[in-house]
Amino acid sequence: MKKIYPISPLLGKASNALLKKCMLSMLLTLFCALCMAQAHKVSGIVQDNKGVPLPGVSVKIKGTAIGTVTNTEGAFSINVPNDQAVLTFTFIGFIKQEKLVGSAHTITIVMAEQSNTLNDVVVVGYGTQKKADLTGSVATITGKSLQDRPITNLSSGLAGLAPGLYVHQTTGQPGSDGASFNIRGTSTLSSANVLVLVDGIQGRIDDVNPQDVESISILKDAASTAIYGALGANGVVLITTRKGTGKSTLTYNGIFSGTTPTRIPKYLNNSVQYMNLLNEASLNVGGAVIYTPDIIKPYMDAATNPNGLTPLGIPNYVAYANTDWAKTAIKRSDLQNNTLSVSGSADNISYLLSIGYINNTGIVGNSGYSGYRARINVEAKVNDYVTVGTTTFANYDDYGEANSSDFLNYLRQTTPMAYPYYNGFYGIDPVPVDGATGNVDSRLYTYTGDQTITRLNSTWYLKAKLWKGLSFEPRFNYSPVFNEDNYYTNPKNLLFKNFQTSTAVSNTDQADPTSLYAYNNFSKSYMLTMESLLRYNTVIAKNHNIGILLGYNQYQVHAYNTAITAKGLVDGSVNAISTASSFPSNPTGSITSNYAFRSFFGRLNYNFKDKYLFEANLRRDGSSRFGPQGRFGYFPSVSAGWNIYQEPVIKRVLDKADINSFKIRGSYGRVGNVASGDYDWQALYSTVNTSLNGTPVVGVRQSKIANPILHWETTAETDLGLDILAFKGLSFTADWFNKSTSGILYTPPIDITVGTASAPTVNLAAVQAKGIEFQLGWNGNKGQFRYSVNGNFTYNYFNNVTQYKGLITNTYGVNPINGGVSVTNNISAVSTGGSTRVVQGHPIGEYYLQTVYKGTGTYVTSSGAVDPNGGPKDGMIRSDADLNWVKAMQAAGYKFAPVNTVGASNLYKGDLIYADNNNDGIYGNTADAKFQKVSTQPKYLYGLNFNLSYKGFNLSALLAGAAGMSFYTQYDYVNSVFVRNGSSIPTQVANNHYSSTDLNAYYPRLKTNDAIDNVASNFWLVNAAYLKLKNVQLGYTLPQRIMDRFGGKVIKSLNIYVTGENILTLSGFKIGDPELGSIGTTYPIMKQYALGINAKF
Amino acid sequence: MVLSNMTMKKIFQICSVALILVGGCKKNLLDTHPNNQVATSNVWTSDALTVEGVNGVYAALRGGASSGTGDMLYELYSMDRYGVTGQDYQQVELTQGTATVNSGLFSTAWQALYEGIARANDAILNIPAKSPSSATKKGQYVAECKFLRAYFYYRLNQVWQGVPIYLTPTDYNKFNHPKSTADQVWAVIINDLTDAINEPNLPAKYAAGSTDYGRVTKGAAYALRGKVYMYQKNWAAAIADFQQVKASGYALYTGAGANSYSQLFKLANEQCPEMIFSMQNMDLAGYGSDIEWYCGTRASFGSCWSYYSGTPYLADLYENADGSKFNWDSVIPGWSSLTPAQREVFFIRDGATPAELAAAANRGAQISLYLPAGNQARVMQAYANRDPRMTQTLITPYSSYQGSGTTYKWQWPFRSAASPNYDIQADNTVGFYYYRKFVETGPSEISARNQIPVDFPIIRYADVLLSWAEALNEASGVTQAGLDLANQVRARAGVALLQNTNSALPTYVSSQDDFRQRIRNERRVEFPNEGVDYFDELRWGTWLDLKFKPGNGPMFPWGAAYYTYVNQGNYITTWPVPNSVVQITNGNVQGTAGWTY
Repeated sequence: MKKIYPISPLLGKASNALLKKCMLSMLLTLFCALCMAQAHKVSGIVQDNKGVPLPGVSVKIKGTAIGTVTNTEGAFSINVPNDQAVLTFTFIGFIKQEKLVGSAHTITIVMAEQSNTLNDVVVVGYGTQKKADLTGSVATITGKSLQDRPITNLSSGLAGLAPGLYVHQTTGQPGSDGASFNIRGTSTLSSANVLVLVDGIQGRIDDVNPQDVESISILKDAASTAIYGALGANGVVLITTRKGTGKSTLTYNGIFSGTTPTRIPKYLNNSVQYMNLLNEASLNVGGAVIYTPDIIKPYMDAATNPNGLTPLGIPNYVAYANTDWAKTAIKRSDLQNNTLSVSGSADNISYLLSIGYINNTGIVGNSGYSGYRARINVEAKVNDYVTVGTTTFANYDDYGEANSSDFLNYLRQTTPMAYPYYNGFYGIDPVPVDGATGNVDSRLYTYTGDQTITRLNSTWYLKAKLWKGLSFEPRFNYSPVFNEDNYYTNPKNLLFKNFQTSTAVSNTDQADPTSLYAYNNFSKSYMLTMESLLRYNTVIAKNHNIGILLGYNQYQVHAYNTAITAKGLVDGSVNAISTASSFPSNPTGSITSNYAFRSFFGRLNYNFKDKYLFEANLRRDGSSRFGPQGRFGYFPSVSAGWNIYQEPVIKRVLDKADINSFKIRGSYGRVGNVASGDYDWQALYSTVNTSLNGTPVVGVRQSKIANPILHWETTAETDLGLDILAFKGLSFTADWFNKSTSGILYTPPIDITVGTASAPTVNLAAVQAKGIEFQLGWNGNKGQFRYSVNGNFTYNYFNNVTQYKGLITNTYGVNPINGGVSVTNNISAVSTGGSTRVVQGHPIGEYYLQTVYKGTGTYVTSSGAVDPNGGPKDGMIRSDADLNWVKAMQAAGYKFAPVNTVGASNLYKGDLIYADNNNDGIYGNTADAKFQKVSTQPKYLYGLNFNLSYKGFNLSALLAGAAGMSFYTQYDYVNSVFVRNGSSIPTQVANNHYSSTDLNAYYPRLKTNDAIDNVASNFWLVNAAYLKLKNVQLGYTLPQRIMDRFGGKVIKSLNIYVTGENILTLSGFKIGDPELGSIGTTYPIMKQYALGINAKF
Repeated sequence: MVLSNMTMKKIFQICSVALILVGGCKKNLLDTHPNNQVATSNVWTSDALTVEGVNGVYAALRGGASSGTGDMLYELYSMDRYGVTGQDYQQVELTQGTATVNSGLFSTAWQALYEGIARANDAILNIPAKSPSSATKKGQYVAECKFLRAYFYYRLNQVWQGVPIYLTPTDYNKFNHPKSTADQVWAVIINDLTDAINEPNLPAKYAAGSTDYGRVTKGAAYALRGKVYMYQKNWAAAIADFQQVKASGYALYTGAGANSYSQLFKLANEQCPEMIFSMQNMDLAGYGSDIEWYCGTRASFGSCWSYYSGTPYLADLYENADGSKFNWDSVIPGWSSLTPAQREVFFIRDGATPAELAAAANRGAQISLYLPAGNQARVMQAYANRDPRMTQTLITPYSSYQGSGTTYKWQWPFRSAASPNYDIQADNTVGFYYYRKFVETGPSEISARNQIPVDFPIIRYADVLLSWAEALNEASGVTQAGLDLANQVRARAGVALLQNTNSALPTYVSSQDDFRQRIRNERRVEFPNEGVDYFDELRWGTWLDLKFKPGNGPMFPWGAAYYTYVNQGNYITTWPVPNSVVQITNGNVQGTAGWTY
């Protein structure tokens, strides 16, 4: 914003345009001076650029302590001493504004929103800091960028919003669709959980209603996280929930959306085609026809007259079904998310009460979810020295009993011949080969009952000012979680029929109530936290700002569960386990988790004139998860910053370039990670089942090998950063980091001669991650038209295992055929994994695969001998000539693996052959596997956020993407040429596989058993880079005058919007949603279109 | 700044609150203990923990995994698929020609058996050193563990023919003993078994219903040592041990007359005197066998998978009741002049539809030989008047099987498992000789397919008798004593007895080699689905020739192979040391000859 000076010192240097403005200002000032009068009262309204009144804005007379705060209508009134008085308006998240009062008695102030400016206050570990004074690397996300989006959980809404943060949803299952995220790549081989603190207490990010969020801070470098010591190695996310301010306001926020899966695998839904393909597959390997013509013909006949009746009176479309199971099972899910909150402050109390209700019917039956979330944040000032408060919330979640996490698995285990449901019966696959019912609908309803999870979380705190600048803040938190899962076999769901013969399938063993099951599972876990902080802030000799923090924290976690399976019920409707007649298995249950932490920590901040900044942290952590020898660890960090802009000489230069702020900073720190199990440091004997004389007896056996010196993983991290503000609208941040983790807890491969006891957990490995992060933003306006663009980009250019079981070494031998040098390596001794490997000197989980043979297609050398490089061009045996080359190669002594025998049931036309990368004369044995220079971890992450507003309209878009990773896509019945009756055939394979009629197809030939084409090879490796349009939103806020005329008495403001989430995905990976990670059968991610309302009362 | 008294008081109050909070700290906060596991320092230090540790060694009989997990690798019966009397309709590496030194079969078995050895080593070292139990008990327990250790080494040596030996608990990073020879391993086994036999506190036999039933006995130790001597061709020593088994009170079960053989494998007889050592099973989740899961059909309770079935070789091996060799040509003239595919016609159900016949013709069946009304009766003659063990072991064509509530029938081609056909349905393909033995019938016998309660015999007296007969024959040729031993088994089964007096009868044993072949066949028909045959064939050196006969594979009764086996090389009679062991010991444990590392 532009300051208005009565006599501008800038005048002489200003540009012409500026000069004019200044002249005007001067004129205005002169004019005002003429009208100068005595003290008078000024009243006015403060609103944002949408015309929404802003309550709680601080209004002060510049240079004095006199001030007031706007009320809920955004109104204020204040007595000014004279016409020269300048009022300053400040409000968090808005640009500070000053206004010369003049003689005006009423004024209207429009405040502009501020983003990423250095005056922001940023929440950091155990405190807040001015962004300008930050020396660590901290990204912030405001609550505003999350509110009004159709997300039911906080985590999945964070994608694309901050650099260095990789957020991706791993399931779309209602109620469990939180995202997993990591900060700055993967710096460990063990669990890399980001520490999440909600209002200072460890918690789950998705316990927080997105509407309640005030701000989120992402602490990235070791300097910022070292205050969390052994918990901080994987980064820290701090969530601050809203506090009440201003006059009591009731807010309603409602989102109503319809959701459908983004991408799911597609399967053949034509029965005739299905049966023909299975026959093809069986014949291909020399087997018999599976579906004889007498089975297929009725299907062909029925297709010409689907509505006709069979002799048994059943419609043809039922008896001879062509079921599209995805279409049948998946329906649009209706989702609503409502939040009602009251917040405000009065006298010495501030409060926020909010209650939310979510309902998501789920895209498949019996998978719905509903949840309630309530929160109470209250803070009371007892006197000038003491403030007490609580942040307390309770969540209640109710889940459907479908095994919906597995439902895509159901889709790949069925056939189009089974009809879903007709006349009270579920259809089975009536074609007499396989008895698996494969009825997706019935499988979803196998169980009925309820799973509910109740979470309570209550923090009580006290803030006491002990002395000038010295304060004491103890707090206490109790957070239990209760999970009750009581479910029963659904007897109604066991009626199956073969609609061709109209015979009910005798599944009496389950339909009989004596065979029904009831399951009662209960688990409880809780965490108890106690924490005390002592803060001291002082300024010495005006310019030396010093802050000291000392703290103590302890917490303990207990968890246990009880599970009972009962069998033999009175009737399907009576399912109390007390009525069951038997218990086919012993009840299970134990304390599955029991651990504690104790920590002491301290911090020193120093800054000189906001110019030279320094910070140091130290934490000492002790964990019950280590033995006495390795229990405690120290985690120090230092960081420093230099606000170059504050140097007068440089300031002048920067001002010329219209640069408004320039800071460089650097940090180094060591943090820890405790990834081990509760008792990994000691050897334990666990129980094992055995019996004597028909009676169970207790047996014990050593289940884990001890390592008494087990200790922390340590991550040392260096960060260099740069923060620039320029051109009065541009913000730029860049960071370079280098993270080295050593002593990574890992269970090494041990000799299997040891037996089955788990390998000891040892501090073995090291990983290094290096990357750069950029954030670039622009805010601007043209009159009422305001726009902002914010982009972020992360390049994790190095993420390797730097220490493991040693380097790969090669052994050289002689190729028995051509006398060349053959190579074998010691990969199994120095690495772990299968198609992805952990091995020293390579990225974590780099793909290690065989490669498809690539030849010239010329078969013979100039001398007429078989040419080992002359085989099929794309590695698939497509013609007799190709096959003859294979035979000639064999005649010359070469071998093909895994199958060397040429023949329809072995290696044949339509099969892949693999390269002899190690030159041992065998094409395609395991020794030919090679590193593929790519893993599942993205190398590049980026996000782009647009925001446009004009008067009451607001349009925003959020793009998020990742690149530089690949997925292995061979997956039976989802993407594979292995087919089996009873299992689905994927469309892309059905339409594009090698056969006598399609010699140039992409996929190999179909087979009912396959040892060749599903070899882990690069044939199945697909680049999984993606760009997603995560969110688009168009909103309209009704203007104040309309509100005044109509609902003004009741509704103070009304904002309605339409929004879409996940509506567009661009990716070469087509089989599923690339955000989910590797191919699998997890519940898909949802695409949503929503209507939202935000009303203030 | 001067603070008022009031303020001071407040500060005091605050500090008090804080102190209370901090005072909540437990001094031993970080000393947590598991409540579901036993700390190492405690194991073996009480009476209860001593016996529990020993029980843990028994649990390893199932290969280190908890039982009933549905993992077929761990139970002994699953080994029959590699033998010549059993087959698996799914391709497995060993017979598919694709086994490598990295194959899971070898590493899983190696690891599981060494797990048993590790548990036994732990007990054998620590019971004398730490346990407060009585000397009597300790003696018994150590003897039991030595037997178990011997058994695990026996299993290893049967297929690896020489493995590294560890007789004391060893640090996980010090496993670098080189491979001992097969003879050295046999010596270790004999040594352990001799120790067990010499232990005065080890009972000779437990009575049925004894609470300790299922533990090792002296009789079991004699039986196992006798079997080991068979490997060493030390016939005299084997005979001596088998005599001791008999002296310990073990005997054939004959309590159900003509049905004794089939009743032997039922729950009621799991503790009969024939059972010398058996894996203990119970009808409780995690405590039972999964044998029915893999051998039963969709008709069986819980809808089972029928991975394993009997071979036509086995079915044809069952003699006629008079002891003569079964010959298809005498039942169906011209049989041997037809190809296996053509013979399918004899197995087609009566009243087959034209479509069914056309489909069969398409598969190569000689449809001209089809008898629309008498086809079933014709083939069923082949299964009449045979060694009764055949129909007690296999579900033969057109015989019935009582499934879960309904009686099903082996019928071909398959139409439907529902009314009115009630055809036996299998997991993926139908029509094999499915096992009847060890597969429960009706819903009353079991409650879940992976918790079969019947104890699984590891050594039973019939095995001792036939081994004894074999040892006698090898040592001294055909003797009446040897014939009597074999005849005990034949008499119980209900098949004509062998003799060497009347050469006109089919039961006439003409020579030592004739008797050798007859004993081998007797073992093949007596022990299907018991995990015996594969090891026998390896010991006799007959496995390669029989398993990889031209055209052999999992076969339908008419002899057509579902797929054909591939012999990748004669070296596969010795299992390879897993590649990971060779690599992780830097070659201290050498790879197995013939295999590519």
